[in-house]
Amino acid sequence: MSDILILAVAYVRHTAIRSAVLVTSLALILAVPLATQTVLDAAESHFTERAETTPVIIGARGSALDLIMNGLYFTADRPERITMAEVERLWDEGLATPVPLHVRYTAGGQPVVGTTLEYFELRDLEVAAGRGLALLGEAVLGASAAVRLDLRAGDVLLTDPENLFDIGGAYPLELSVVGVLAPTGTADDEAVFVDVTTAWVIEGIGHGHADVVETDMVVGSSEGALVASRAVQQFNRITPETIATFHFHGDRLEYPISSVIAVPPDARNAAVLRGRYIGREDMRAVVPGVVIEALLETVFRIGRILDAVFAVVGVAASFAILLALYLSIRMRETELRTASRIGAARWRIAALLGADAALIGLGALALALLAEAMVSARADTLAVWLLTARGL
Amino acid sequence: MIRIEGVRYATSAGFELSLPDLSIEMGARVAIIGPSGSGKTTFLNLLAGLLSPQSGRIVVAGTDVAALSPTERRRFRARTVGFVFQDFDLVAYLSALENILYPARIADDITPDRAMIARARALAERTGIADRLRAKPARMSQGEQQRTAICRALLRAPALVLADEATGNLDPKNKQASLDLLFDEVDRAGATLIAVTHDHQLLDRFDRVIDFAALPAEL
Repeated sequence: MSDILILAVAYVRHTAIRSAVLVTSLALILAVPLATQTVLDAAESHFTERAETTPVIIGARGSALDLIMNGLYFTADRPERITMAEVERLWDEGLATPVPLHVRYTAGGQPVVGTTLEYFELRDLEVAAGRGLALLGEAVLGASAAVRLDLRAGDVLLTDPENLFDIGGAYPLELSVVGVLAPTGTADDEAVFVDVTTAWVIEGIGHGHADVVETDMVVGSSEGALVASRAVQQFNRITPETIATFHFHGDRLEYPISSVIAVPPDARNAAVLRGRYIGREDMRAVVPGVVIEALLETVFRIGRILDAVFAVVGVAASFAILLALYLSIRMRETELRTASRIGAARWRIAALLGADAALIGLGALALALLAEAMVSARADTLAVWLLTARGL
Repeated sequence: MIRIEGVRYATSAGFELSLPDLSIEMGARVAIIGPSGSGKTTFLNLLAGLLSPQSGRIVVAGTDVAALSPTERRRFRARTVGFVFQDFDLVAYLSALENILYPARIADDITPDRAMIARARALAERTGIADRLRAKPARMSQGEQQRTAICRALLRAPALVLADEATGNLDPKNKQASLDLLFDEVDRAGATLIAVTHDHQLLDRFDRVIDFAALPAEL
């Protein structure tokens, strides 16, 4: 190691706090714009890819963005709901394969997605451990959700109440985890998948309880139906013993869903399908790619503004760092004067100061590259989190 | 041999120093005394080539310092002159050993090799700071700091050692001890010592005293 470097290292170590603050500040100036761009690029890629693999999404009239964010990324956005009648209609018309989505509840903070087996085919989702959905009350976890909740096949998971103080609302349902999906790097990794009928049980449309006759809970009758006491035991877990007691009231076609992903077999059917919804006042068919493209243009505009903000903040912070280095030189005046008096060449003194700045710069660059590498390695996860995080 | 011939130095601020012709034998111990502002430190700076006279010759160990270019004067200082400053001017972020090695680290003509590091340790051993070589100046006593400064001045075995009020900040006991040390090491190195001092009690220990209060035409 050269003598100048030895002296510079000694100075950096002696002024460890100053050096750490300068290195961290400079690293942040370098890393934040890079990391932001990396995550935005990953988010753009996810947005586009997910939108392209979702041909058409059908939902209630209202915000197309809410519909897509809820249907593609299971966000907390709540589009107006539609009913299962729309799914049946799509089956009857034969223009597309309908995949219903019921996205309203959470379990352990992760979105509970009520759907059918067609969804797993549409997204090419593979079960990595355990098995797929088969019975009412079962759940299959996305890879990240399983890690976050620390659950595996055989465990149970309680759904979150919508509102702690709403005693008339949906009661938590204990789900049996039967499988964990292989990671996909998409919003599916964060989801808790259940059959759409299980989602209706969570919502309270379907329920299970002890036999009112056997338990002597009949308190009367009305229009030919027995009226049970409110004290009858309700089940909050679907087990082999209780599954037979679960049933639904009302017309299945009226049961609510959030949206329907429609998968037409070809472009012609897709065009006809979209045409069917042009005149409808209660419903709309949205092509996610088109909406996402418009959204990305907005994101890019915000990105450019962010770049300008980073540039201004970077310049201001650079001035602060230069000031800190200048003050540091002032504090070393005695040393520099001594060096000059004992015969040090001017270039050696300049090199001494330069080496200090270079060490700070190199340290900051290394830290920034490390941070960028860490962000790059997790860019997909961060992008998915950014797109799906609830409460953002 | 140090020879001063017809040296006149003046600043734009009105300070003026005219030195009498002067010869100092190599290996001599010379004390410079005089009131503040009489030019004692300026004299040391002229000898070291830190200042250039308007006229005259300053010859140190055969080199006319006044005739050297700034770069040559720096090299001359690095190779020929050792400094002991009043406030020692040790480098705060370096250990005692690295402070002693500092003139070699900062120089562009040498680097501390094993022999030089051994010399630094030997100097520290003789001056009694061998067990404090890892300490930084902030954790050293004034006596230890001064010994470190003396070792630093002698590292490159200079022909001329200049001490500017080197004992000025020390208590009487330490003054004598430090002077003993400085004389011993200068004698051992065969160097010439020129020391500015205000302490007249120490003067009888020098071979020669030059009083700047009343400089004659020739010394």
